Amino acid sequence: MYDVEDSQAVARGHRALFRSSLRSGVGRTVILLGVVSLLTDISSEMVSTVLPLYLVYSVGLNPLQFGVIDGIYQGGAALVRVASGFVADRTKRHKEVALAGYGLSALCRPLLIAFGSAWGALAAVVFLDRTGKGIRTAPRDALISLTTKPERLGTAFGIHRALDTTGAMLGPLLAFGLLVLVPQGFDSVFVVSFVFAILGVAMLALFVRNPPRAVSEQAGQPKVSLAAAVRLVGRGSFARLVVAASLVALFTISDGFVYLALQQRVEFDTGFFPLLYVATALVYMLLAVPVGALGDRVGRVWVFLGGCLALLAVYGVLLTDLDGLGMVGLALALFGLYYASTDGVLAAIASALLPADLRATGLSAVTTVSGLSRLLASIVFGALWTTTDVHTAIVFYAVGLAAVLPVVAILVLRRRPEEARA
Amino acid sequence: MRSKVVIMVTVAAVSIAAAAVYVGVQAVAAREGTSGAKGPTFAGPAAVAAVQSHKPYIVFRHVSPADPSRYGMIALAPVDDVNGASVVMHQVCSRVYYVAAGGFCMDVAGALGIARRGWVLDSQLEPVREVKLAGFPTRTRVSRDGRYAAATVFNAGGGHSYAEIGAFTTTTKLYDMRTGTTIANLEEFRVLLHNKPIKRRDFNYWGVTFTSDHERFYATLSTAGNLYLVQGNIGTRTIRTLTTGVECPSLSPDETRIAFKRRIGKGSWRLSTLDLRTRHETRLAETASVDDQVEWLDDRRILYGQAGSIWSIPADGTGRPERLIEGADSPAVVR
Repeated sequence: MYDVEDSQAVARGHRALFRSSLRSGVGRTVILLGVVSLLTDISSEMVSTVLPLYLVYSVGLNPLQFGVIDGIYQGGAALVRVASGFVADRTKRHKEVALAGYGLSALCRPLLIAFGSAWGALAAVVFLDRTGKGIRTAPRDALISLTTKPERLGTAFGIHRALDTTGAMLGPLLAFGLLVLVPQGFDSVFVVSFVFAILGVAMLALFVRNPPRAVSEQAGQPKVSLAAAVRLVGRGSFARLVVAASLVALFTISDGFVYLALQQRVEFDTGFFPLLYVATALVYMLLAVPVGALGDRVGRVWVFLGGCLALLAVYGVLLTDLDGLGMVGLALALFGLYYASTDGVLAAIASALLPADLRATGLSAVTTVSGLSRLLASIVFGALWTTTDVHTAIVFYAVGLAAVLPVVAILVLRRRPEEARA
Repeated sequence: MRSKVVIMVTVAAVSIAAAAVYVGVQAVAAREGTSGAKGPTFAGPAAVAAVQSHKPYIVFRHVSPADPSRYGMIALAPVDDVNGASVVMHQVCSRVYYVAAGGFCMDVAGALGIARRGWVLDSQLEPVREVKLAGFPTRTRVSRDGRYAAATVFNAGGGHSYAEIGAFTTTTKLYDMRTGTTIANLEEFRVLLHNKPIKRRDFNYWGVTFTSDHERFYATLSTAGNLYLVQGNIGTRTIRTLTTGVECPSLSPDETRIAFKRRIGKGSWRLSTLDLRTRHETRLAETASVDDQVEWLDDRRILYGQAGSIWSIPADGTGRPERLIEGADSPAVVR
């Protein structure tokens, strides 16, 4: 029932997207990279939707083996992120480095079928796939920022994230549809996923170009070196942004826990669980472009801070006495708004603070540090929930987030004079 | 630029066509493979009747890696000739239980780890009524008179294993086998903890086993990090705690003992039996960790699924585990 509604919403979102992108004059590289991400996300979300089932049912893994693979899936991307960002900056070949990442992940699809039942080999394939994701993210975001006028960064990242999220929504629906068509047909899911990965890689290889040297190589700037990369940390404005992003991440309750908390409050049928994810993604997709454009107009840091307030409001809704579907809808709308105003917007803020020749390195540093903070937040939240109860755990995170928000505001707002100097 | 567009279109056309052909072939093959699902079973009524004439017999799940096209299908075999005279039915389950009057089959989890249905099986093991489920299927039992069924699922979004208390939530419901309707979610029952009524939001139940008096059952209750063996009464809708640390109880045919798994660490259990009168506990000779709701073969021996086979072991702590049926799990014994 819901796939029909979704595809209509997706189509509406697309029309809105292309209208706004034409008006805003965002470069074609951004649109192309958005479509590459859309295709790749269809591919990777198809696999991640069915992977747990495949591993437990078809391959027959025990919970411990499954835990190892799941851990690799969640954490594997972090390892190579900073390195690939640095290599992309150093060689000025962002496209080629990103292509290596997309290509590596694409190659893992047929390997999933080939190594069917050997769980050690499967773990290695999952690790390679996540490595591919780690390699591609930073150079791709750098390409987006390097081919966009600084005053349009928010819109550009908004467009990219909207397309990316569209793919992430379509992937599970497609996988679900295929499993209905071919019961237990995991191979069919992997084959179709492989095709989408090939299309993404082909699109990137054929149509995306590196920014002209003149843009990325300004005269008089030092050669990209490890020392220069390390000096990024010393750049006050950038360092403050990394700290601010990590502070927020430390008090961010992960999706899974937010949905579980909602389920505990309203006690709806657990079969509706996947819809929560789809609803959040839908709000994110629809708001990414307008919120990004708003950031370009009124200041991205204000939008980012607004997004943090939306997250705090999600906690507030979870703690109120509200009940029923209205409460679920309100919480999910706010949660989608939080994503739309922080994810791509953070990349846009960071891009504006980073010199062109260290763009990918810096972007990878932000995502790595805040990603690790979010992982820690998840572990702590899970432990709190287990030892006390969900209400106490949310109160703890709400108080924590409210306490760090003024600090975050001071950190991100103080950058203005430096930016003027740069 | 033009040649690039040509390359892109060619790559897209070839790869999409190849995938469409592959999926089409698989879909047709899957359809042909299940085309008989609504008709007579693989085994045929005559074969089923032949096995059922040999009492006792075992109903189980066929999970032989050598026979992937029939993975998860219900099978049955006489106890005295388990490997010679077994027959496989068409119905696929992730967990099955059966008494002479009928059975209960939990569907395989579909996309996103959720099974939405279970089936009431008739005395010929044919599905006759659909029952609504919502979660990752894990345990099921039917009362000896075939009146009630119980089913436990892991709730979506939580963990899908019993390894760590607090990392999963379960829902256990009782069903009326005659109508396929839900009698109750156990979380609605009144709970007496050490004979004092308590109300908490964190109750999780799993592993129901029925007594033969049409009224009572045993199960495991987890709350506030503790595990209890509980006894429930369907008529009065009350549950009272008996002792601690007993998971997935299974009542012996003479109803004097309970076989269960005792937690000895995170995700690690030892099979034991508990004498209900003396409260004396006996650890069985199986040294490996077993995560199953076991079944009594008779009053002296226990069956359980472990590593893709059904094993038997004496209930008094002596002997060694013996492999009874290879490529099988979810045993139910009809005496």
